[in-house]
Amino acid sequence: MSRVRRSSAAGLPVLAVLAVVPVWIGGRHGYGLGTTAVIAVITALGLQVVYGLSGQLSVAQAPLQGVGAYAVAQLMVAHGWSFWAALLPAVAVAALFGVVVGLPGLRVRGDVLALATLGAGEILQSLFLNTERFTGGYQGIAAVPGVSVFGHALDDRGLYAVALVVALVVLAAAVALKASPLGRACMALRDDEVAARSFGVHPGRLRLLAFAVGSGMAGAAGGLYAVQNGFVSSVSFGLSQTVVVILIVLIAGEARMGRTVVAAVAMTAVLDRLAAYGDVSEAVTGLVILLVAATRLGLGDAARARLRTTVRLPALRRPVPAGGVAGR
Amino acid sequence: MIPGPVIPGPANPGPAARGLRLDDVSRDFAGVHAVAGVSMTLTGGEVLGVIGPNGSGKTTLVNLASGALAPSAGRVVVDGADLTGTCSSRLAAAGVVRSYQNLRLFEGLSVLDNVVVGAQRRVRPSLVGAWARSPGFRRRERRLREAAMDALDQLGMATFAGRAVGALSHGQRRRVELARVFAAEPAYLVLDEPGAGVDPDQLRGLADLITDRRDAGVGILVVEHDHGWVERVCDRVLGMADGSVVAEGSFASVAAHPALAPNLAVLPWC
Repeated sequence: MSRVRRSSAAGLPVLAVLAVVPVWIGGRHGYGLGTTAVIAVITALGLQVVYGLSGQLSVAQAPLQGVGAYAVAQLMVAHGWSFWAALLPAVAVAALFGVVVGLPGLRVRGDVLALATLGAGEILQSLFLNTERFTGGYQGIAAVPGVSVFGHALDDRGLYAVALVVALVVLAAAVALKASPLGRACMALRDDEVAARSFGVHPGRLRLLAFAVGSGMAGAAGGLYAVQNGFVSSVSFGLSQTVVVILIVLIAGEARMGRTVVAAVAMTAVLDRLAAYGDVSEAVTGLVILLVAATRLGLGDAARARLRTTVRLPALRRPVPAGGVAGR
Repeated sequence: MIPGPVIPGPANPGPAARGLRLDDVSRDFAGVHAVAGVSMTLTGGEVLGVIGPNGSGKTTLVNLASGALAPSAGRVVVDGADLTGTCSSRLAAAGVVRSYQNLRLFEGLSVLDNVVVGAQRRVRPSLVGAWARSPGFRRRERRLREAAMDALDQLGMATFAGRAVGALSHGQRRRVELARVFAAEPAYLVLDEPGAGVDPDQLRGLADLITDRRDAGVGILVVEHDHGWVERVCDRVLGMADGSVVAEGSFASVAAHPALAPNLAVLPWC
């Protein structure tokens, strides 16, 4: 009956399907691609907290994911920590960097903030390349060990299961946040700051908190990325990766957690297919971005409403009877 | 009242200090005195009306009283606490809640959630609470929703709870906005033209809702153009002209002031 249960109920079947699809496709590639998709899900859910809930477009989500990846790799390779021990500190470090990236949000909004975070992301990229002691510089960090459970090294399938569990936790956290006073205050702030203030919402604290939570989620995704690939370098966390995450969120619609899962999986599958065509893939990716941006084609309400007028789609949500509770 | 973790208000002041007080406040916009040297006190359990021609500074007064604008000079004092120039969220925490003449709803939220944001004014939102979802947290959430549904019900909007606010008519949106401020259970309620776009029947209903709040001890400052309504609802009236209070007292005495009498010369089409 609670809203949380209903909203996670929307995301859960999707995760269930996710759990089965790689088995269905089969082979190492299936699980590897599945893990990549789940990592994209986690990163995109993080951006949903920053952009979808609190209305701050962060163009530094991939570099923040990189912070988590470097932290896990460094702790595992140089200090011999296990993945499990390294994951939480990595999340914390990414959250901390996220707060720094989000500091301009105390002064500026909208497109100016997006530009500021873009700059912060570029600084992070530069840090990745120039703080060799922590990041290995241009060489990156190689030979990151895999994940093991009770001394047993996990194979691709095991890692996929681990990633799914992390994604489930992140999805639950995002959905619970959205359905809490904190989430409502964030969304109120996103929609009308003046009105939100006049109901006691204090903007600065909430804005930074959203950056911390969303970036921490990106950090978790980065940690998974490090153990999946066994290698971390700055090229994996550049602007083009950030753009893909933003695209996923735009397709899903603001603060739509369940749809973000669908959009992230679909996007990963499409990009995987395109990768086979080499250089053409980038052009096609660009074309996809152009189409989505120009038509607002996606899973968002505006797109659905437009489609419904022509195709007559059934409503995703039935009208809620009096006394009931509805999400957005 | 929503039980649970609450933001502490100012220390309980003596009866003399109670009230939303403006002390000689002024506000300039690029050299124009929108409000000049206005003093007023709104006490609990009264409805204070503000009337005056367009451009007389009524909305600026509302913005000053609710903290949306900082005064150029003067002080804003809530129950003895000087909150001059602080963020309006501080005034909201101190019990001052306002509505907007030009409706400011949260467009991405449902009707119910818009009102719940009002109801949760006293709740200190916490990340740990959101994630732990303790029984106490869920009970508070349920009470917030019940309070919001009550407020919607009083304004005849309960059946619209699940709708997106974007799908509502202007009159309905006005009622959602009023439900939002009522659900906030303020000590001082500032209403900027709550009757604009509302049909006469609902305006009568609104009068009842406001007097109910007054009888419960809420102080209400209301700007309204409908003089008949002001006469019926307000205990005391301020008349404003050119940024100053030119008359104060009963509606009849204030409305008779020459600066406030209807000026037919500016309405040649009447």
